[in-house]
Amino acid sequence: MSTEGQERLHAAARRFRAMAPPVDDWSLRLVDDSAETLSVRRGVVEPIRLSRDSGVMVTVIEAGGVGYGATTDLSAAGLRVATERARAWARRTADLQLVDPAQLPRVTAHGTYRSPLAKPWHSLDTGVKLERLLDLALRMKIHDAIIDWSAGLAYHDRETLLVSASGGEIRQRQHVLMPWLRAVANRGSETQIRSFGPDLGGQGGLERLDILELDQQPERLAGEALALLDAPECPTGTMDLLLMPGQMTLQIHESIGHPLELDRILGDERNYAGTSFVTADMFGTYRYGSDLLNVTFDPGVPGELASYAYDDAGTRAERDWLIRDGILLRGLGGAASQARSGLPGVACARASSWNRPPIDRMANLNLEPGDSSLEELVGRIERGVLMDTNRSWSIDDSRNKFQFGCEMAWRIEDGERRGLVRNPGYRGISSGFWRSLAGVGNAESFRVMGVGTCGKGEPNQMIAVGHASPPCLFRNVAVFGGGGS
Amino acid sequence: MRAILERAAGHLQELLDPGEAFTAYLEAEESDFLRLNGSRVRQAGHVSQAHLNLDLIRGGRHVEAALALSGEPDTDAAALRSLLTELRGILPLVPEDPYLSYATEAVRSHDIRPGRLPEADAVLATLRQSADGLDLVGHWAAGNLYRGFAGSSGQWHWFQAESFTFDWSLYQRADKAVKGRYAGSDWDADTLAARIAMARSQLDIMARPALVLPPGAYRVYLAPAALAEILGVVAWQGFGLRALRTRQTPLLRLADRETSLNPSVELVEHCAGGTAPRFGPQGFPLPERVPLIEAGLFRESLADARSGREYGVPVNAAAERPASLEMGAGHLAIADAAALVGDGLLISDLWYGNLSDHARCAVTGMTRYACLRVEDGEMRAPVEPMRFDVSLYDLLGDGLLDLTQERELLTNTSTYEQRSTSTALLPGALVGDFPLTL
Repeated sequence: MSTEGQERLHAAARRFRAMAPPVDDWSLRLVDDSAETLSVRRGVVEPIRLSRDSGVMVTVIEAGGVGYGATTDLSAAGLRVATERARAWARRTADLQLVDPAQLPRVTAHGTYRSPLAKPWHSLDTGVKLERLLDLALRMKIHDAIIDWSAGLAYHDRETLLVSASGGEIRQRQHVLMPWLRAVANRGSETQIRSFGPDLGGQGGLERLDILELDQQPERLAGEALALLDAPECPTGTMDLLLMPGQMTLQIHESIGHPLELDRILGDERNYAGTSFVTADMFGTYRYGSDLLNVTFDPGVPGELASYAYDDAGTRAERDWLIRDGILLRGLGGAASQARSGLPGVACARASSWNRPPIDRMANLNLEPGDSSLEELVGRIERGVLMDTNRSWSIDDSRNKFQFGCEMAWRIEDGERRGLVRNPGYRGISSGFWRSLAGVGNAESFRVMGVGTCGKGEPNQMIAVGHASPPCLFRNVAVFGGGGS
Repeated sequence: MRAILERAAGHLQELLDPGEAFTAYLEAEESDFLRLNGSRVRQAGHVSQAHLNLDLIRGGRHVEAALALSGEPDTDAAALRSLLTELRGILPLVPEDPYLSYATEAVRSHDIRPGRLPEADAVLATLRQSADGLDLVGHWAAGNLYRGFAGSSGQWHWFQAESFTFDWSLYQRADKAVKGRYAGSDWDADTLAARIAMARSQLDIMARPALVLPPGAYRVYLAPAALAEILGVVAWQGFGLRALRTRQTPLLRLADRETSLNPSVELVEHCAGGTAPRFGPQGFPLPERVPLIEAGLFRESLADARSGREYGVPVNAAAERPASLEMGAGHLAIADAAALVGDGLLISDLWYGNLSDHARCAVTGMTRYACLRVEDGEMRAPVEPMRFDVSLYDLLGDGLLDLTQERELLTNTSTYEQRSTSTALLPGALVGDFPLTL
């Protein structure tokens, strides 16, 4: 995001204020997003890709209706056309509004947010970054059976400016870095993949590469991919399951995050992402998990993927407990959903970009650490498996019946790791699964990760969310392996 | 939008230095979006967007960039000048790309598909009348879609289509609902009203107490939309040339001829039969048909420009997954589905599919919407959502009893970043042992 880009947003906001329409309320959300992706594959530098995107969404409340108009044209003429389209939608839908516009939050706050940033993306030139990627990728080519090896870096610099008729003005700038490594091993019809990232994306600059110890990963990944070719299939049966943070991320996302979204509970998502097994009467009393389950909405974790100071509806974001000692307390819903449902929520009305309206989303959703070391958790397993790195995910439209697969696992017997197993999977039902939580890793084992591609909404929106978790132990889970060669 | 690309191409041509070339691929749309819950409006608005995908080339080096264009000539010209300066600064830092591939023949094409779209007020009027008293949740998306390509060697391709999709669910209670779809380019209020009325009539059976099925293998009829979910998961990587050559396709055993599907299975990427543009982002025109599976055997892969160069085969796809998938018809009549099932399930939709075992090309997912228990050839009651986990080699191998003679054109309603242009033309399938696991 250049100074030029910032000025473009502020100039558009000034133009709009000078021609603001005579409506009951309006807000303007402007986004300027610069991105760059570098990648190498099999020793070849893939095309470098830059992205420069700027646009605005005008939202108006008029005559009892609400409408939006979004455009890449930030000129006075473009803003005028977008405004007229927003007004037309507001007027024509006034008698059909699901939500009373009076319930919608007004943007009145003034504030700023900026990601932590120690080593800016441009502090290293492109050639140096490419050389580093080529080296990382080459270090994965340790055997003829490694048939595809790649490394990449994706960087985003996004400025969002939210202004309103009520005088609010919120400026937020997020720097996000997502590195990845990937090794593919094959023998005959058996192919195994080990990856690092992009679930390790986070806010910040190139300092994240050191934090993530990217340089220490290539040989390990390739070695694990090779070892998986010769590993036995994951055992099948009901047994203990120890999930590492690389899988806990997905488990939290699908079977805590999505079910707690208030817009699902209110029915908005029923035609697409689905509804929820959680109902309004459960908040405050429902036992979501064992006493060990503690989950927070925490937009203030430095470097976590979805940290911010205000959501896209202009509500100040703060840390809140969603589940404490296993009891469900609060949902994931912004001010509008809270008003509609009368339920407690958090500041999580978010939009994927300027061209989509805010909806209830996860942001940073974290499972708080307990007091067990990883080895203590392993030691408590008589017969089970340890799984890491999500590979496959599927869950029903109420976010209840799930089946997930991982890239790799270890068989555990009598409190010790006995060997690598391949194609691990497990299935369960959210409403009972979390009650089988029997051990939670300590702060030392806690990892901050995220999901870069959470899809939801109509029109569809893809957004990045942060998840942090220690390893967690679950009892009596249905585990299985593949039926391959 | 066409003028935006023409102006951009003109500017780029003027700004090129000797030895430079460019390709420019425009993705743009003017879209109305109307989101409904409880037959009322949740969110409504309009999005106007244009993004130019530029590749600046000098010899074997190149850099790509996506740029939002405003449509305002001076603003866009300045943005392009600034971007070119930035890209020229990067070019010397990148090595020559051995897989650089773009169209160099000065081919021109125009594909303009006018439609008959309604005024937004007419859509709302139909909904007010037809959905009265119903719990309708859904999404209307309509307007012009544009794709264009311009190259410095004089290539020009233009695709423009007026289209709409209306994807909705009628809820009877909790998670019990009937799915509805109406998509095309020629709007007809009576057609939508009739489809909503038909869905309304199906709510009666959804009102019956839902059955809880024990896991096991069931004889099922998969409606075209249900089959589309499974094929969509497999096709995500299944037919791509890069996935094949790096042994990552879930169809590896089929491609290696270690196994085969039922000889009646025919799958083709039929570009000429869908609603997607017939050129790719690098300007290559696409063939009318690419046979993917013939007589149950793996035939060809889909190769985009980059893979085509890497593996030395002609370009036959914009991206390495189908955009206009067609499956050959069978012999059954959809109207006979319940009778053909006899004792089993009618499944209208499957959902949230994902590969569960690559080596077996196994897909897991959930039943959703009208999944009905059939006994003695009669529809008895809805069932609670069930998880399936099935190998494609079983489903479309020994497990496939027959396909329907009717096929349904399913328009992709995806709107991630932009409205999709993909379609699938599929029959329904009668399957012998469909495994439900949870």
